[in-house]
Amino acid sequence: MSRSPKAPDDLLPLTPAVFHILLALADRDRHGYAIMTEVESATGGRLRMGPGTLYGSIKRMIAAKLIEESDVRPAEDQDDERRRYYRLTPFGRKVAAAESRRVADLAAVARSKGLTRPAFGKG
Amino acid sequence: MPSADRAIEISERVFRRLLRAYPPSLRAEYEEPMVQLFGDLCRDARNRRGGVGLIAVWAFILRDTAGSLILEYANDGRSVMDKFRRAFALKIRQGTLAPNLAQGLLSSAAVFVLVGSVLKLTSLPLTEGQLLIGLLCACAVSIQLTILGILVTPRPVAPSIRRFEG
Repeated sequence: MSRSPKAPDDLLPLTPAVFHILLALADRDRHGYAIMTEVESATGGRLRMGPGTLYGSIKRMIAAKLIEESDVRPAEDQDDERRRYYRLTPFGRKVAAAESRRVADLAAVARSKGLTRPAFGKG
Repeated sequence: MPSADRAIEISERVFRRLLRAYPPSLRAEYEEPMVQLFGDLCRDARNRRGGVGLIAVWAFILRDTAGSLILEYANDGRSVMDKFRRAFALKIRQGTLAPNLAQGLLSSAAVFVLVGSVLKLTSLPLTEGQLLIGLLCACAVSIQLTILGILVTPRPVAPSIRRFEG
């Protein structure tokens, strides 16, 4: 039987695929295809996951107790019973928050070194 | 049936065969969702770009499959090695490593004598009792190794959750 590690920081840094799946599930439960399209849309098409990458990651994230299958289904007329929905666990939410802080801290350092400019500063 | 639907149906069938390359542990749990997601991708691409979209999906899928196959087998290998490492550590903690090793060595010797005798490689004559003991020892080791493999829990955090190891 698997168990959660003691601290969210133990899992950092996350792979891009795992972090984006956590972000996709942060606001609502989604099924596999919805996760894939959300990640693609959030990254402007830079990160695209196929079935192998997506479900391989989902399998490992469930084992690590970052996400779990959700038993909440959409309204009957919009539901496809073959679809499996996934949601963040409380531990998964903590890991996503810890990784977000880590990335934000890195971005702040990069900004202080003049390596990034805010998007609105262009032109 | 329209030709586009037929093309998607054939694609799904081919993709299902492609999935056989993945480790059974992933296939057993996620084969159907993976095929469904592939079908969704195909229908979406066909609706937006027609036949060209379908070809683009296949190019993407082959890239994704190649990359994820390497990752899945790397993780599978790590998990098997991890099981043995944890089993070994457990035996040391329980103080049963030495008796188990002794039992394993004796059993191996018994099997060696038994097989050697059958293949006429050794000149040791074996009674029926010795043969029976040899067989029982070999069975005991096999059962023990099997139980070890099943009972020892996998590592709680899969390595590929993290970007770097160590």
